[in-house]
Amino acid sequence: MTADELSAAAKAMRRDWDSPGLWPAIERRIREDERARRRYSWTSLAAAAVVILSVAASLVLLGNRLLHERAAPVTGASRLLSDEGLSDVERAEAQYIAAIEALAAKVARTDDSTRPTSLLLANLRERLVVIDAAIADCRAEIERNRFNTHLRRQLLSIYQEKRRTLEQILDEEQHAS
Amino acid sequence: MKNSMRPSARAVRRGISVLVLAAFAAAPCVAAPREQRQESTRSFDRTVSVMPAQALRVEHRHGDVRITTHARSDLRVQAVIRVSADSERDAAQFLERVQIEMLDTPTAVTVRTIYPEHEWSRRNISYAVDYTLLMPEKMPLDVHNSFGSVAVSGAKAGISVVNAHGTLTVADITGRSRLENSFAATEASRMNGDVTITGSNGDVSATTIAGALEVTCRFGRVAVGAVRGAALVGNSNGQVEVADAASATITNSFGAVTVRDVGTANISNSNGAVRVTGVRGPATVKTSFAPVTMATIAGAVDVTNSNGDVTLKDVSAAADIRSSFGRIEVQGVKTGVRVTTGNSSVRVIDVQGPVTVKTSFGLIAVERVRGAFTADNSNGGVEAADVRGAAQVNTSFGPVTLRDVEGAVNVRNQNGAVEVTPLAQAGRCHNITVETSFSPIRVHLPQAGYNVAARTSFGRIRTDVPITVTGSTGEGTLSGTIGAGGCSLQLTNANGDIQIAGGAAQ
Repeated sequence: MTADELSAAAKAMRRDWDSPGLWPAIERRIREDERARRRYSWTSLAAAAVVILSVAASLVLLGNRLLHERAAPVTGASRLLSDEGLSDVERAEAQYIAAIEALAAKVARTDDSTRPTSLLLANLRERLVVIDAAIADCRAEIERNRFNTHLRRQLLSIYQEKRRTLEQILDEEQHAS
Repeated sequence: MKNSMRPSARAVRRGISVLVLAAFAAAPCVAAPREQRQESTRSFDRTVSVMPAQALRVEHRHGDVRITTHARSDLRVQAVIRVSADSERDAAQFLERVQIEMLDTPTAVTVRTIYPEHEWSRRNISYAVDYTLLMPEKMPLDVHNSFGSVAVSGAKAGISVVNAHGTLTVADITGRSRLENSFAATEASRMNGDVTITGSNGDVSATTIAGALEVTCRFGRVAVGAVRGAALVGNSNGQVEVADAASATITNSFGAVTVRDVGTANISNSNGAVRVTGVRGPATVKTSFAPVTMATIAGAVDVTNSNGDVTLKDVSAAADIRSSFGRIEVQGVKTGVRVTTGNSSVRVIDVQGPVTVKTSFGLIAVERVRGAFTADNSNGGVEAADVRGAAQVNTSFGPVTLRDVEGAVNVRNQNGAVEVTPLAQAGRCHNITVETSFSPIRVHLPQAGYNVAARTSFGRIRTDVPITVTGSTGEGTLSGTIGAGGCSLQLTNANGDIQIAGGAAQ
């Protein structure tokens, strides 16, 4: 069979029929998909918002509580932590450590040994070493004295200093680059 | 297409992380209740008589030390020992083993806290000991503490306190005080004697010091006030504030320095701003990469800065400023001003003495100078008004405008216009010499006599003032006299016009 014969045979096989429901059906399906997508997207957003708000609220409440505790003087009665107090403090410590680790990873990524270091950066890095030594001191004491309120507060305060110092290092490195 | 219809895998992972975090945050709220810790407390109270030669030594950790004084000769030591443990028995056993040792020797009474050895740490024990000591006011004091605060008041024989990881507060001390602290704040107030404070990673505050004060600090804020003696502060990476001191000598870096109401000021900073107000004597300031602001200085001022602005106001003696890459503004100096800078604009107003300015790539503007004015610039203009002395200007590539100059005028410019208006004085005149190129010269003369010698090439000479021509006169040359002659008017240009006009203000 030649190409012309094949073309003629194909034309002869062609059939037309009415299908009035085809395009409305396609349109309906597209609209349904859009509605489902919107519904899905709004549901996801709402769920995410609820979760974020819950986490933010718990962090704010915990932060306020710890700040309040840190601001208040350590009196005789609060000299040693209760179990609940200890779990609060350890939770705060965990959050600080997570934040510090994230910052430290960023600092490590931006640390370029081939680039000359500014005097401020050198100072801040030296401070970091001093802070780490102080953290080690505090932690060694805490190993033997876990419920001592002063030790726990002091460690939190040093973690706070470390976080600030890491942020300063990041700022300075970004400024330098 | 698929990705736009559904949340991305990354978003899902993020959501899961948030949920895990939320669960983690909420976990303690639903944790099962556990047995509470047991806490035991014991008190210690002992009083001993003290010999006049004896000092008090305290060696402590894990708790506060609070020391006050009385006029009697006995020492009272009170302590509260607190222990917590998982069981009442462990708490009680550990409590019994915490010792407070009081060692009495001819030279000192030593109070020392001795905690049981480390094997107790396996039993989840925690502890703290707080001291309250009442000592004879004339007993020398030496305290070493860590992981607790120290407060001392009322001692009259000098004190030495070394603390770490706890606030240190001393007040109402007579005699020499030596204070050292790290990772916590130190406060000294109402000190009747010399004070030395060493701090690191903690703020330092010292107020109402009758003697001299020396503060050494790193990474902390230092605030000093009301020091009758000299205040010497060495800091880095922290702010320094000194108010009301006989003198302030400050070294700092990467932190602002603020000084007010001091006898003399000597400040060396780097990468930090300096602000000084109210100095009764001389003030010397050095910094870089930050502004210097000084006001109301009775003595001479010496400023060195680089890459930072300098603003100076109301100085009763001379001011000498050396700088680069920063704007200089000086107003109200009694004796005279000298500015040496580069790549900076300079503005000087109201000076009762000579003004000398050297810069480049910036405008020099001076106003109301009661003395000679000397400007050395390049690639920058010079403007001067109301100068009661001679004006000597050397510049290039910038216009020079001198108005109401009382003394002789000498301007050497290149590629910049020059306009000179001497101050009109009845029966008096001063020599005027102006030289430039590629720009016009215009002189507004008062009614006075001048011997004129004007010369230009590729330009015209125009005069609005009658001149009696003497000697040769050509296209670019004019010689003659104005009035009866007297003062020299020498105008030299190349590739620019010369205009001699009247109109100088009477």
